[in-house]
Amino acid sequence: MAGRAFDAQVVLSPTDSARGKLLSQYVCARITRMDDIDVGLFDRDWNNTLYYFVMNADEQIYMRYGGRDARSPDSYLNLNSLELALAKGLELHGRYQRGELKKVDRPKPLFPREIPLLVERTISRNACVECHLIGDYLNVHREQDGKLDKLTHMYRSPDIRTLGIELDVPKGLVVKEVRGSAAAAGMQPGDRIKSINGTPVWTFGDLQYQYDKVNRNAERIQITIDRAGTLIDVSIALPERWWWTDLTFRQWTIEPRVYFDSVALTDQEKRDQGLLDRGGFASKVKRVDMFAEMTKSHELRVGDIVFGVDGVQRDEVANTAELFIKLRKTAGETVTLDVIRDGKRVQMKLKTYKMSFRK
Amino acid sequence: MRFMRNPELLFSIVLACVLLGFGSKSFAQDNEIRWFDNYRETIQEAKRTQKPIFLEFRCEP
Repeated sequence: MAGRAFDAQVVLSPTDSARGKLLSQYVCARITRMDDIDVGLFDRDWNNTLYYFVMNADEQIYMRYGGRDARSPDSYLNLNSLELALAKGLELHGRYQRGELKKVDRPKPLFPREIPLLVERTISRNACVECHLIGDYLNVHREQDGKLDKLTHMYRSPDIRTLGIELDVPKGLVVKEVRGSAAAAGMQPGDRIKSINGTPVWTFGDLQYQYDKVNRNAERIQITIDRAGTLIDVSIALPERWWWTDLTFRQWTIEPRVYFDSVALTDQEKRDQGLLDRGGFASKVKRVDMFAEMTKSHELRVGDIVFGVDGVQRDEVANTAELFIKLRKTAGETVTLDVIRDGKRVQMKLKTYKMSFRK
Repeated sequence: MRFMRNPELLFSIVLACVLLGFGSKSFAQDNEIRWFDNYRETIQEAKRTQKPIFLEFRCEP
């Protein structure tokens, strides 16, 4: 299970260890049931099964610790960086007690019992309110209420690697490698990230949470870095589809599952096929998931070119037919695909699938 | 036995025994950190001691 070993190492920290000495200066709590927790205050990406907050008795949150990427739940969990966070938390608490930190307004409270589907399917059955269910049901309600913004709510926790930032994880927010947009903006290995769009960040958990808050239509973000004691602002251009992440690990996403992967055709390839070049989402199937056959979802084959969905061939955001379906259709819908197979244009149906959790 | 071939499962069982064995408001053994398992009591303890709080949310499906 995700984070199990890390969890145990933290909980069982000997008091005479460096980590234990830091933890001894805290009131430590390990909460495994979310039933009576204000999930509005402790908002996060609910697909993290292990997550930490450093805070005080006034329920002012100093920092978050945790966060994951699509590769692994453990990518950013590290005992060294946790110790750095714990030490920083003590410093922030001292500043708070001295009145040097401003109080932050408490977010609007939200308790699990206020989420109707969670009550109906979990709480009323006395089942555990698993963290991911909070996010899952909130998104189902948003979708039902017409308030779902897939770029924000479905593609939660964009990956900073898309900007070209690779962190030196044991050192917290120290940058290890820089490529792409971040390199072009002047970020360098060894820089320490201090804030994003003006909001201070102390941990990867903070950084990921604040990065997630960036408007999906934004074109740039401002990151302040500490380079050898000097604070420097860098303005990073956000690449196209910077918010996109692989949702496979999210077990009950509202994403329509299509059971194929595709790669966008180049403009030249599109012209060669007599298709729209600019803005067209024609894409070549590069993998068909075995579930496609098991669920009789579709009959696409590797090499097929999908150039239309329900008669639409272009989209302002999606660059592939696969992404178009995920963004513009609802899970469970059946669509008609325009396909080029062996040079011939054909149409075929694709039934999208709605994920259901294992229970 | 199954857990003898699966160190991760064995580790989980040991941890579960440690955590569940106390079955009270908080848990700790000698030379270990005391962990509360109730949010309100955590807040009360932090008020009493003036300490900051290190709060872990662990989803255990």
